[in-house]
Amino acid sequence: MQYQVSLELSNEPAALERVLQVIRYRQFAISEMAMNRNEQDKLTVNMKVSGQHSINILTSQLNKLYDLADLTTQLDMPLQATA
Amino acid sequence: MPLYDALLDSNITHYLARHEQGAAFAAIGHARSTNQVGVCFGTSGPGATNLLTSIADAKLDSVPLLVITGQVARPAMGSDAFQEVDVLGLSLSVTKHSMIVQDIAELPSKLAKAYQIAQEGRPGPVLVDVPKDILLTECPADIHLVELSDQETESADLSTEVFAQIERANQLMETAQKPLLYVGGGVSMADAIEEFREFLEESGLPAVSTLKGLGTIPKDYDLNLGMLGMHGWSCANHAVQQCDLLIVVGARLDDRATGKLDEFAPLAKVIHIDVDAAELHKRRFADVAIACDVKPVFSQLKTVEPNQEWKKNINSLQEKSEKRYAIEGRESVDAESLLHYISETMPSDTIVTADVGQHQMWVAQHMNFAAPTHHLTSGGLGTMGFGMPAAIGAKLANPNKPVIAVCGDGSFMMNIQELATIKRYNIPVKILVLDNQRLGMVKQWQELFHEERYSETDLSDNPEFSSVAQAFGVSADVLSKPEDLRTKIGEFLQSPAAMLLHVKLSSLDNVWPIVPPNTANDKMMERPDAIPS
Repeated sequence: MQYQVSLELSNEPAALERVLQVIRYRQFAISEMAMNRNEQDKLTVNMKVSGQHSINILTSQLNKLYDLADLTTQLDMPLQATA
Repeated sequence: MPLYDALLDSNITHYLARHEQGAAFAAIGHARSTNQVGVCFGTSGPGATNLLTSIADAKLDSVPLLVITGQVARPAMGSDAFQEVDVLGLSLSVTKHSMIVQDIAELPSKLAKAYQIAQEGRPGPVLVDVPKDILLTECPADIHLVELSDQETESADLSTEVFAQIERANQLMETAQKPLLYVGGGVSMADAIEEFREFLEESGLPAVSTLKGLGTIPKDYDLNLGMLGMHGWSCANHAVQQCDLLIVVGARLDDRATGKLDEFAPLAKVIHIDVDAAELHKRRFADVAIACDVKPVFSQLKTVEPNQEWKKNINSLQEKSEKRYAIEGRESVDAESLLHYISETMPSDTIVTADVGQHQMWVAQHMNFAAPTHHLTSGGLGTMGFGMPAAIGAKLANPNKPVIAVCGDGSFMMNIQELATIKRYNIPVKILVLDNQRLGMVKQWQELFHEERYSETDLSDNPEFSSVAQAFGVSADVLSKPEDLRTKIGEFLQSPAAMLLHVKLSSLDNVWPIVPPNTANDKMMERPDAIPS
């Protein structure tokens, strides 16, 4: 299953590395990623991840990160062909 | 250097370990025996890397630990400077959180935050990396100092959502015919022993414990089934396999406890209560999952008298796994009987630490503890070398309680240098080295599961441990004959100073029962000479 994951992080040293480490360790893989530093000095990260386990395994671990300000996930559905 | 220079003028009592891993294990011993934050320092580079194993140990066993590491000065960072290593990067996967101080003004708030994070919710290790130039900076006069404080034990009110889940749990409890409590180390860490025991007495439920939960269930509780899992008692494992409702509290259902997960508690609905929401549904689906501090939950759970058939069944399982001890009548000292004898003889407030291996499981199986804070062992990481330095920390934190480190010969050698720390500060810990001249647990697996192909597990060239201790200035004795056991253990327990007792065991003894890998917990291998019941 592939999911879209959007995060907002405090701009602290290693904040992004910590997220990437959790994703790898919990057996998910990233296929796309984009990051921006916004005007409030937060890091916004959008990525597509996939893995064999329930996404809850990943989100429950990401939710424990102290640099995490916000997290949303949704199933990445392929676009339906329109008539 | 600047930090240690400042220590000379501070009111902090500092203990110098002989290896950073020993220092951090001592801090863990302090933390686990008090449920308070343990603190240790390490210098940059190898000092920091030497700490990593202990930090990982604290992560897997949820120990509140504050680790402060030195770092090279900021202008030198990233230049591969002498003793520079990326401590923050290395810390990511073994800490609950970690941070680097980038300005002297943020030092107090970062330390306070780290101290708070270490103990809140599910405890864990937090690392603060401090560059040298920060430590050399003159502290601004207007700096905002923040007091480090231990967490209040008052529990927060339960949320509406949690109450709803508790209501669902109570409905399951009302209809269950074979309910069983499964208690982990989280109950003690939540300072909820009293609440748990009140619930236990009122409900009269049978209960099993994890390795870290040992000491939570009173030893004389009539439906105490002891430890479950790979080396658990058969009554505990059979009860879990037969129950129709498993109430898991403060535990994470780890693989050494559950055995083959697909066949674990196959008939049971599960109520899982833990402060860490990430542990719920992680390995086993919970019919009712409650993420909250466990302390206020017990008074909300309904106490339903278990059905008499189930109680009779539990009593029958207990009778079948009754332990038999024999100090005399053997050619060599029997470790199980020895540890049981010590357990029955030592003062009830004794703290016992263990290393990792066969002796660790014998301690768990054959000794009793007043509370989990009296049984310190490396559960999750299984770190050999844990026992003696953890005992040092436990003794410093509890000067009025006896502290015994039970070590294996393999494990003891991994932090043997801390004998120097014991001598330097005259720390009166007792060290029991159970020496079977083997890496015993690995040898046991090679014997049972690898066709007796013994590979690199022979330690028959061990040094004479009593002579080693004496060379460090620690008194020592040797126990090799079963008939001397009572006398030598008496002298050992009564020794007012630190003492090492080198116990020579047969290399043939194994830990029983054992659940083979990837096997259900009720398919245990029992001692080959066990009398069938």
